[in-house]
Amino acid sequence: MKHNFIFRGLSLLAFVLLFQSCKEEPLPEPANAYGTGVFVINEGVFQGGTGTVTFINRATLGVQQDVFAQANGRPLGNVGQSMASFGAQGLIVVNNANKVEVVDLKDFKSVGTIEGLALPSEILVPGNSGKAYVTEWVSFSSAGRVSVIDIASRSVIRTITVGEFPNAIALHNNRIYVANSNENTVTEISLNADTVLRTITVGDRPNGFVSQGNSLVVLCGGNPSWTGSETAGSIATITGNQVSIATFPAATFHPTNLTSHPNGNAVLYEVNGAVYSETLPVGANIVPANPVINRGFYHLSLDPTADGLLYGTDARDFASDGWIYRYERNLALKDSLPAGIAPGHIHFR
Amino acid sequence: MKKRSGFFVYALSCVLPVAAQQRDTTVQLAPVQVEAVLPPVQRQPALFTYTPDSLLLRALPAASVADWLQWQGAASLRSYGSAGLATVSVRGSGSQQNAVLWDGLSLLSPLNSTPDFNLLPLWLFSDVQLQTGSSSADFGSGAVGGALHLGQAIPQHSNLSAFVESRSFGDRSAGLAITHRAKNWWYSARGLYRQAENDFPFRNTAKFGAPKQLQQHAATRMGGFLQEAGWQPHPKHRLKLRWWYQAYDRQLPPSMTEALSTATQADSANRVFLSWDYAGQQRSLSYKAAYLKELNHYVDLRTNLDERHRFEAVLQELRLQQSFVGNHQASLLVQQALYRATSPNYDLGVQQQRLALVPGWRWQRARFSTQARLRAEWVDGQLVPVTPSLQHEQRLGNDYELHAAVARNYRLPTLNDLYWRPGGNVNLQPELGWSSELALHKKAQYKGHTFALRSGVFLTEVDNWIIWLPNAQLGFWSPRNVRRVRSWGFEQQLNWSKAIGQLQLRATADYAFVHTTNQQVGAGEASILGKQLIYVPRHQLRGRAFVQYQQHFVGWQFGYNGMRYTSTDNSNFLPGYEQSSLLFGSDIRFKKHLLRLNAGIHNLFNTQFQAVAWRPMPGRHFHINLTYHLHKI
Repeated sequence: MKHNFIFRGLSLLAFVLLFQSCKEEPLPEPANAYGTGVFVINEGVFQGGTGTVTFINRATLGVQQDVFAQANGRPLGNVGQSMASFGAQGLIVVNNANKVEVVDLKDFKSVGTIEGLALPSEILVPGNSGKAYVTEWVSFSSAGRVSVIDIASRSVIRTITVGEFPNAIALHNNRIYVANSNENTVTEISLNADTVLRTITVGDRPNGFVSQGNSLVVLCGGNPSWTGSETAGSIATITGNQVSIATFPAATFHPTNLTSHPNGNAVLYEVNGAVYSETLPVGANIVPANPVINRGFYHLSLDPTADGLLYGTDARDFASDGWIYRYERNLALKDSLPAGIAPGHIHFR
Repeated sequence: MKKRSGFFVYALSCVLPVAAQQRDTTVQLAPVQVEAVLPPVQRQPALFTYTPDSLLLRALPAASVADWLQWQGAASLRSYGSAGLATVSVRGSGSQQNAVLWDGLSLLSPLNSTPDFNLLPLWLFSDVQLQTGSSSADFGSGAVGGALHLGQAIPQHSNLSAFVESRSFGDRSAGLAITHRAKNWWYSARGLYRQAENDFPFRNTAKFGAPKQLQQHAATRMGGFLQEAGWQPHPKHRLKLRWWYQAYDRQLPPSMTEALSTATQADSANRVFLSWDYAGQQRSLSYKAAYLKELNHYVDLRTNLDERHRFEAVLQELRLQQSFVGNHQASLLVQQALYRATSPNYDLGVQQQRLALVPGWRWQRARFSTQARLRAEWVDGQLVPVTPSLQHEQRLGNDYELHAAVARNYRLPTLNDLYWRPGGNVNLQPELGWSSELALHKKAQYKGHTFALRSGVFLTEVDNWIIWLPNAQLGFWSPRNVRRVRSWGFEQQLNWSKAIGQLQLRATADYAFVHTTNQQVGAGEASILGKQLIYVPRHQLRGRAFVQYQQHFVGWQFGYNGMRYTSTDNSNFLPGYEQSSLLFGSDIRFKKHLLRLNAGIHNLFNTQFQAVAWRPMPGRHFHINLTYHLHKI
């Protein structure tokens, strides 16, 4: 009897070891071409994780997850931040890895890495300039900078000092604008000379741009409450040398996620967990009423191609795969697609 | 001889803070036991307890609690590498849901309640025990998954111990322990110094071609001592005073997916403990008080972050036990705590007061014991839900013991949860849950073989689980009580031993199956409903086998951690891994002198594994140490 008892115990131990979970099924092979489509840059798990890229084929709505790792046999790095493209190459900014991965959009294989950056954030490739502009925080308590990269040689050819925490970057009227998100300024840079032309005062904490005709619309989040000097968000409009600022109704309004409206002549932004539309030009005061989409997103941007769909990402708990919601031109929900962990940027091509 | 002891006391106090003392029990091969003249205050009887194996202590005197838990027990270790944070999950708990107690008083930081088990060196303690299972009624907030007990034995003799150790990757350590025992007083001091480069090679699979590289920016340096003076003026009275100081500096290495790291962290702690015990025929009374002062200093040159997080705590405990006829015993526990904390992430310094009353009753007969407790706690004057517990132990025949327990448990929000700027949520409710467990303990002897098997099942449910989530309206992360988590599974402990002449054989195995899933989630979180929690392996096995012949031993240790999910929807995971180590030791004894030489090979099969995603761990490596004991000076 004693023997049986011991034998059963040992057998049970051995049996449960067999329950080791098997590996999950491999993901399907990536398609051969990434020439056109939608690239979602997923940040990945916050501490020590790795970013991923989700590719969406507009025509088939086929979704491929983690295309970088599948093509290259290694992860993208920590943290996936933003993406731009030039010709047949994609440039992916990886924030905490201090690098830009350059991939061939034919097969998404890495063709090189641009190293030596310091907390890079957003990237802009203006037209056929052959240059890429990357905003870098550099540190948490000093001026940021913009690195000018020669894409062909994959080297930094110039750095331009800007304000603190430069994030958003946009091209407007042949000039480059950088939002210094820890200040109330926007830095204007000459595209040809790569020098600072002027520093423009806007509202507190600018976080997004939309270029509309001769005007550049700048969304400013305002100082959040935890700074101890909470201020209301605002929308600045830069037209030539003129800057007008319209303020939100109360200090508790901290708008984000500025993007173009699908029907033009208006912008969309998010505040207090809903998306609102603001017709251009912006009036003296902004009164968010009647949200056009009654929910918030981690990232919101408009597909500039003929599709003209609005894409909003949902990062959920930032520890599980996120989701993408697509909206028609009339802002009715069209469909939803899966993404990776913390989808924070979308590049349309 | 008295002069010599006095000299050591003097010398020790001169070389603080990095010198000091240790364990007279290391000359024994039995598991560490508390030796006390007075009966120790009874802990809540645990169904499953794990104490460091005496041969493991002997072979690895510089080991931390994290090192130990790799090889023994039912806790799943989440290690960020040799220089990094090491937390545990017990029965599916989060890293904040386990208590760490120093003779019954909580050492958890009120800021984050996340103990780092790398910061707890075994050398400083002679009584270390991991108890799995919920015990909030006894130990208060956070004792949901389990509790780690740290304590000191009262020395019975005047001894001296010292060791030096060298490990791979620039890991050097030295320790000193002295005890002086007089008729009615004693003094002990234990000190440890350890530094390591931790520059081990690994394959960086996050880089093109998976190149072999050396771990960067992972050096550590720690020193600490623990002194105790005790006085027993009367057989029924005992007074103890302790001072534990420790400093730990470390570079924080980058993950495999990061370019570099320039971050460093310095932790220092001053802990003073005073206790008085009285034990009469029918009544016992004890009073404990502790003052804790701790600093966490984080610096990152790259991001220009320089943050100091501090806290002070004054803890007091009064325990009264009264026996009655019929083997009944009533008890009353009163605990009081005052915390003060400062952090650049708080608007102002914050303060928290806690007061707890725990009446209890115990009925013990020859074949059974039943006890019940009820904890009522007030936090800043607000009563948190009352937590009762009921436990029963029953002998069945001569060889079987049945244990059963049911308890309510809770965990208070940390000060970071409440006051972090931005995001702190002062409206958070405590996590609340129920746990139940049933275990059977069997001992048997057969033809010289001795077996002990302990098998148990458990079920725990925690509601109001606190999780930090982005708040779309506020624009930043904030903690909320949104999830309910259920954990069930079973634990098994198997011990076997046999003596053949002077040859002693011994083997043990600890197995745990843990199924921990979200039962209720927040809006938009349907994809994580019913999914296993991240970094909670369903299967975990620890095994050890030792062969001892006269003054020599050989030991083999084995640890297996099953697959662990790394995303809450279970779409990403780390594969399971196993590792082994071989230990050797030999003694030379001459009168009162004992010289021990130990060596070991770790990660025997050079397994490349990650306990936490993209955090490399060392491959095969080695250690050797020499220990000297002078017994009964």
